[in-house]
Amino acid sequence: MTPMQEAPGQAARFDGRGGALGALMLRNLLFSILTFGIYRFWGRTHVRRFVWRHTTVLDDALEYLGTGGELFIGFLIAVAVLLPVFAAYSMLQFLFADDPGYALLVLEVLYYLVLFFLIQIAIHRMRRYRLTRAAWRGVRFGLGGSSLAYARVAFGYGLLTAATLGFAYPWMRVATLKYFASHAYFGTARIALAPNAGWLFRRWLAVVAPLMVVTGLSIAVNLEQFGDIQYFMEQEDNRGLGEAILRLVILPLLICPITILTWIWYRVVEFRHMTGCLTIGDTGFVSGARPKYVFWRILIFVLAMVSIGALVGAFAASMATGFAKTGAGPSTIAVAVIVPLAVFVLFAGIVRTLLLDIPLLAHACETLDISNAEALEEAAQSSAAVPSYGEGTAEALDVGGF
Amino acid sequence: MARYPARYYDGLTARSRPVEVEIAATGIAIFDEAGPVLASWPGEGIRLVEKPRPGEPVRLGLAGTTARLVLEDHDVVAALGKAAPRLRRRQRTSGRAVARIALWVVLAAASLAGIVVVIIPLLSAQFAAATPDSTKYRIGRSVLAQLVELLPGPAGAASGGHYCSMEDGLAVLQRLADRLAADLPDPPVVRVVVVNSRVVNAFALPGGIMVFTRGLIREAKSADEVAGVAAHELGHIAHDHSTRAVYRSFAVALLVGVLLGDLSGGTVAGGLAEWTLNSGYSRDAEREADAFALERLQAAGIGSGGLSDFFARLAEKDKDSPLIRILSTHPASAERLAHIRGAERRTGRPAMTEEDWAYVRSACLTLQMDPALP
Repeated sequence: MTPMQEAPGQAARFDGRGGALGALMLRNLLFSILTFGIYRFWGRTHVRRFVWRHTTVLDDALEYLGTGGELFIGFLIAVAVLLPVFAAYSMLQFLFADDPGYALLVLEVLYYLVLFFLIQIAIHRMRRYRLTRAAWRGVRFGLGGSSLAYARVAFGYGLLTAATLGFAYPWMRVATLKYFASHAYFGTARIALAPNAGWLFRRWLAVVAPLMVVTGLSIAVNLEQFGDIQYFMEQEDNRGLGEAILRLVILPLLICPITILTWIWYRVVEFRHMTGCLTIGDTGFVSGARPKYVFWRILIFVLAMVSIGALVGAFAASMATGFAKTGAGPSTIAVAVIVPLAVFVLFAGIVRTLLLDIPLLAHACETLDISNAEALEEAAQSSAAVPSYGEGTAEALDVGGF
Repeated sequence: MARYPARYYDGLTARSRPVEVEIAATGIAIFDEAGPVLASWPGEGIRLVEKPRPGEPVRLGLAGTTARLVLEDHDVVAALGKAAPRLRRRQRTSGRAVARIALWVVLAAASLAGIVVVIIPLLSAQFAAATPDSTKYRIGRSVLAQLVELLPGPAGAASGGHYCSMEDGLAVLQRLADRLAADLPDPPVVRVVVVNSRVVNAFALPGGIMVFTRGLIREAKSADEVAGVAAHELGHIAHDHSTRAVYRSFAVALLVGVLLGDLSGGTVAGGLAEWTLNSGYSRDAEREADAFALERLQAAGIGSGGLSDFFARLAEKDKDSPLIRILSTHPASAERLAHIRGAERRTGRPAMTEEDWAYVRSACLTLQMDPALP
């Protein structure tokens, strides 16, 4: 029995059964409801153990070492840190609710900037927890660096991307992923990432160029009103501005489904590029992930969600009219509408995992090639410290998947 | 002695080694294919990493390390027997697991009930006491702006405005409220507002804002009834029930957000729970306001009949209008009515002259969009 198989497409695979995972997630959902949401940390741990265990690289499965208790404690700590921020924001929002000046606007902008920064901190901490709780062949992964330093990089490049209307996006991706990868390790083997932002930017143009053309055309067509600021200003309240945004930005986006296609294509191309530029020690990787496959998977997922959503909506509507006929009060009718919708929201996560996340993970595994895999054997257990609790900030801010 | 083929990861290097495992009385020995012993695991430390599942290999671990043994042969689990007494330490039988979860459900419900019933009211009272009056007034104005949007019409721009604006009628109501508060040791500042809604209700908001609805003034059969309601609302203001209620609903919203793992945004379920929990003052608060009202009416020389008559009629109306019940901050319970009626029905001077009462009744002849507050 030799663990080293280097035939193309055999380097990794996902062999979990969707049915088993679906049953596990349903059980988690039920227990979570019964425990007012507290069980979800243990439920999530079960799901991760399942997914990691069924992800096999070079014939050896990954192992998830985290526990529900760690996630729970991490969450409690995050709540203690974040609760004052949210409480202060809500309170200030309340106090300035009828302030005629720009106080509310300034408050909102500041809040979202702070939130964006906190989310970046959360992302780094989440990655560190997940990597330190993942092992392969009995050797742990890990992540160094500081979450503040990562947040500064991500925040700076995020502002740059916004200021350049998205043109700097590939540089933001390269900078953030490079910081992440170059601080990650597998045992004593360092991980490195050396992507080419210029190469990515040329692909990124395929996404932004059609958008720019359509937006430009749209401005040209609407130039009469666009030049005539008075036209928008004369509209009541903020409707003038809203109409301007609708006509100049939203409408072009809506009539531009090509952007969705190019976006998916770009993300897959980026994934392949990043995978190709990744090294663990002296081991290299190649991904042959196919944009077409990803597109079909997303389409199947969206169609499934839309049809389930339509069914649930129709059910809620018929419940509401049924109750209204019996003369029930508005609170009963509200419950009749809200309960099916809440159930739909809860189930949406399961549908997403089964129809989207897992097939994409399986595809990424099947199309992965590993070169110089023997070099991985050089890696030994690292003595670096591992965090003792996990991921709380990300959980509290609802960052990340399962 | 039976030997089981396995793959061995020593937890120190990323190497997969084909090995054979031999079970002894006090643990297991791991043999290299070439012969020599690679490692031996004490029985106490041997754990199942995962529950053995058909179609999946058996994974054994050494406690406190990431050393692993992966075996295809499931017989090894039974063969380990007494050699590995803590094999299933992290697993429990399903019956015990269910019992454990049931215990957590009960504990979670109990602590949740404790927080909602005891801790949040206590903290809200503390915070309310520490809030400066100017802040309370700002909060009150925000609540008022939300309240007029929530109350069913006639309201809004189409009907001329949210607030009644005939100054003579408002001035009479303001004088009535000031008179009721006048000889209190620490008289609260009261600001009277009449909102243009057909709902029959009155509200006390933070910062001493006393809200009457147009529907209430129309429904009242006499000035004494309005005076009774004003005295009751003054009780809520004097005891600062409304500031506490605002803090309480705020805390409940945060708590629900925390439980649902969604601190940053409101959720459908959160809104529903918050709404259910905050649909009224507590029974104690109402009783406090009632007692206060009876005492204030007596001090001002006004009869108490108006208060009891009016609440009795309001309770009748409640029965057939669920919407009023939802929005009402005054769940008029049978117990409360009995209490008000049980009090000695004192007579007194009328609350105001017939002329003033006519001014009050015409307060909504003109309307405006913003409240006439300083």
